[in-house]
Amino acid sequence: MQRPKGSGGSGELDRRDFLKVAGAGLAIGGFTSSADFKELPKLEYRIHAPKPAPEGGGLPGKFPGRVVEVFHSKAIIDDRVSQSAIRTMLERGMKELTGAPTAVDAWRMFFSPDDVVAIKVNPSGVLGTTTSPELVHEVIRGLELAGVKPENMVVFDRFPWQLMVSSYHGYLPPGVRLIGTADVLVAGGQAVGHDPEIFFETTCFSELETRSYLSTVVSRMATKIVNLPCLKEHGASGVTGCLKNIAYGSFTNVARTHTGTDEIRGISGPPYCYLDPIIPLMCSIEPLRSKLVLNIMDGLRGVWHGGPFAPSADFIWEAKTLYLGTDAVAMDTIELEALERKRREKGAPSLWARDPSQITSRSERDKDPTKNDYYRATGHVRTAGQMGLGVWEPSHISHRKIEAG
Amino acid sequence: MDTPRSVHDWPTFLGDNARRGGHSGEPSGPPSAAIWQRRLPGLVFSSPVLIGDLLCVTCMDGTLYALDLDSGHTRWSFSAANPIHSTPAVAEGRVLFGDQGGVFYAVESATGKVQWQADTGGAAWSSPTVFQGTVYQGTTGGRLHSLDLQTGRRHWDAELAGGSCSTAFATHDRLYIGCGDGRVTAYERESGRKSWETQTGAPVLSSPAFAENLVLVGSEDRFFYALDADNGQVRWRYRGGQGFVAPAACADGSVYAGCKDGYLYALTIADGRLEWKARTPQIVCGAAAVTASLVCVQPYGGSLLALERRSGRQLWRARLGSAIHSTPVLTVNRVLLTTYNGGVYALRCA
Repeated sequence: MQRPKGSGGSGELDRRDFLKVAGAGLAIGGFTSSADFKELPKLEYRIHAPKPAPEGGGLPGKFPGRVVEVFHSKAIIDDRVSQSAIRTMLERGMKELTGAPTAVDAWRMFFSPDDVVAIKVNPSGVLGTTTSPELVHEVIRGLELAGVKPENMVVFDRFPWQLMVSSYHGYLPPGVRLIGTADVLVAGGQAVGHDPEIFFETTCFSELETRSYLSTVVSRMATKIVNLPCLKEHGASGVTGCLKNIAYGSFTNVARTHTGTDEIRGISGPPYCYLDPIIPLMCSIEPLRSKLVLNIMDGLRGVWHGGPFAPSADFIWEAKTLYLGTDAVAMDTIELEALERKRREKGAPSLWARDPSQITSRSERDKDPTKNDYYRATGHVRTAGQMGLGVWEPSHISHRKIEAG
Repeated sequence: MDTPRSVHDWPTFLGDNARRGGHSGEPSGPPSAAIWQRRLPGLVFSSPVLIGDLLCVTCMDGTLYALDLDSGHTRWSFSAANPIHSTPAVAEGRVLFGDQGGVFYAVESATGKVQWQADTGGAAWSSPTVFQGTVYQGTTGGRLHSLDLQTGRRHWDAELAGGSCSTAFATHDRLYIGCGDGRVTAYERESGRKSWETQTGAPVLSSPAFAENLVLVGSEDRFFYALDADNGQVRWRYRGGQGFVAPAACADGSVYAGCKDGYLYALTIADGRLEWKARTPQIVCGAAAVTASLVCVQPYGGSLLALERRSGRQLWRARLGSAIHSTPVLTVNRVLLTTYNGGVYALRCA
């Protein structure tokens, strides 16, 4: 078993060992406890990953604790994303993040012509709240500047139908593949699947399928990953940022972490979930951790409530922002601040709230921003920081803001 | 399709080369029962086609299935080298389609034996267009191929400005096709020489229709365009709430276009005037099938929706599995359709 950094383990590999960690709802973050809020039983889990992380490789990457926020007043014009504004924002952001004199130099700090690059999008949600195809297009352009060949680029997520509805296939240059890992290849040449050698094993709510396998896009196909999450609240995890996007989009069988019933232990899913600590644990697994070298968060439109699917337009705003960084934890911390700010402005409770009176059904939650169907696992960001995946303390984060137009 | 066929047949994407999305036959009422249903072992993103009593369905498991129309049993199947997204076309005893690895096939419709195959160098998301003994296929590899229907020999291939997921429309003189770089391009059908191109504001994933000397096609830029077939000039355009990726179908002076904003629009071909728009349960990426009195679509999210063609009023709705790019096949007494989870249905209509 590979011990995640910060878990108290010695770091040696022992595949038979089980590691106990604190259960979901551990006193993390700024929420106030409630007599009615109960912590879930501690989670026992096993990580099976044959190779340890290379020395100094992976999260938090080249620039720990650094987050660049780029705003462009014309990023959305007449409800449409501006391709030219995205290009400007990305170039400015990449230079600011890296300190490189040109965008080409900036991209070359992460990628070389020999790389096979997987681009992880977030296609879950109503149109406009998923990773913008225009951003994907510009990221591909950046990779091309670094010399990566189109046939060595893969845009992926789990569900092929979500990728198709978002029309990513229309924005890809010839050669770039589009893959939905949940079933079969969508566009490209070779079959893909999931790696039987790399998995996260646990029982959340007595489910029969206890393993979550890593996609072979991550384990075998790609040498590097660019992660393109969205600026979104998430009913179960608090935020769905860099950490959740890469973790839950790369492993199978993840819905079980927030659904189901365990009659023996007397627990059930909603309003409880195991996303904390499972999200950071999955992010710690090799080779996902070392291959994820760059995060670019699509904050062109933000979702401050109702995520990830965002069925109500009332909870979506035009933020016209991109966030860039290598440190997924620092990025999600800044995302969390942005969403908390917006929720305060709208009179919605904190994402850290643990008030039982706010718990309701999914359908009610989708209409009422003061309600939710979970005690959100917002603490997963801090847990990730405590595991050494990045910087979670806001005061330790270098947050640079740019106006690109 | 320019070869003779029975009124019962539906041998290609949207029924035939007119891109009308139907013919004179139409269901006499809403589906009342399933005659049969199948679950294929892979995702299905294509539409079924019907020739005689053979229903052909391609599947992302890499197989072309030829199903008996009455029983749903597999008469034969053909395994391609790669997953198949392309809706097949049937012409002169051959089932034609491309796979995701850039291989194009002609399979004998009676036996399932391959007659010829050709390398197209890119995945086929769209459907082949067959016209006067020639097959035309655009690919995500950025090329448009012209192949001999009998032999697969290449007449010509033209470079597109980007990958194409658009099914070409063929007229006697020209081919019209959309492209991922936002262009709609016209080629001389015989030579493959470019005639004109018109730039839209975003990728054109939709497939063009043709009527009244206009090329009718949607773009991800949220506009539905009517382009002069002679020179590509924009005659009119209509703005939707999201991108138009669904192929258009046209009939009797009207064009029907689904939009990702969840509406199906009926526009007057001559001037782009909105005749009606109908709200569907989800976004519409698949083409509408049109009959004398009905317009049928399969919106994303799981239903078959029948609207009154004159008004857009919903006549009936059948709840089924979800579809994305599929278009139902309509006959007098049944509806044949696919869902992306591998479902194939033959529904009896009242």
